[in-house]
Amino acid sequence: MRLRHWFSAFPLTGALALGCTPSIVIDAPDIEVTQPDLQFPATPANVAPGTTASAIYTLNTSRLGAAGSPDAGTYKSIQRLQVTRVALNAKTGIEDFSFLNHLTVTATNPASTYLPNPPVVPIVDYQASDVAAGASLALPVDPPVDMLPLWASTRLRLTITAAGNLPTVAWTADVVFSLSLRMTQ
Amino acid sequence: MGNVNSVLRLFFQVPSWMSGYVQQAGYSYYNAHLGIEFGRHNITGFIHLGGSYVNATVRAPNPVTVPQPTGSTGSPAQVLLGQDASVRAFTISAKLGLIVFFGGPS
Repeated sequence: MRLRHWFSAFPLTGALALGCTPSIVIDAPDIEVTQPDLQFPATPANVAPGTTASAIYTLNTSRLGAAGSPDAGTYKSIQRLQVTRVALNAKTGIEDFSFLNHLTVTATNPASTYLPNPPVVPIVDYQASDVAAGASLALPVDPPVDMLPLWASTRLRLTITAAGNLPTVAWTADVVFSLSLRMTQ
Repeated sequence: MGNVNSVLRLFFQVPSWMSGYVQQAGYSYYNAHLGIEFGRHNITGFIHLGGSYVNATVRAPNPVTVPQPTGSTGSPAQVLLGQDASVRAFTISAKLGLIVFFGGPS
């Protein structure tokens, strides 16, 4: 098998030896980025309606082709990087997401937060009537949200804000972002 | 299928951030070449030039852990390919070789 690989790749070796750069298209329709055990704070009982609980975390995007990673120029070769779905899976403190009335997910570049109006990309704006909530909450993002404007940095700050009949104990959830990537080289 | 990072790196400039996701791969390829062959007696040399098209499928069944940014707390993120990724490559290619015929009239 190893011998077969060697011989079958021989033409490519020749091309590279001649200094020719192959044209490459990479298409990954579903890259699942899971942030486990995202912590939401407890909400005191009898709080005013409209009170929210937020979880903020920073994603290291250098392993996802962001500029600033050791592979210089990778960011420029990405032609499509979109969020197509966000899913939450209940872990501790809650059994399901039936308490949610409203959930938003936004992304921003941490380096831009010093600006008066830092650019914020809204990803999800979920209303309880949109999707049936169980122990898992799958939220299709339609149309997909373009993340390329935020990919110049190696960090991405994601904010998940929940509103509704919030738990009085701290709770955790796994959050899964589905990305669709197309890049050329 | 198998761990093919070393094979891919041999022929393509696979970005280092991407290598963790290339855990298994299968590929098919097509060559279209024109060339000349020349020889004497039972030895033939050849030079072929043309193009090669490679169509590969990449799988990452095992999650890749993304290190947390400096100063961040909490569990690190995990990344996997929910669906197979496809890689299509086209390149100019060349083939040089020598054929030695055994037996028969010399």
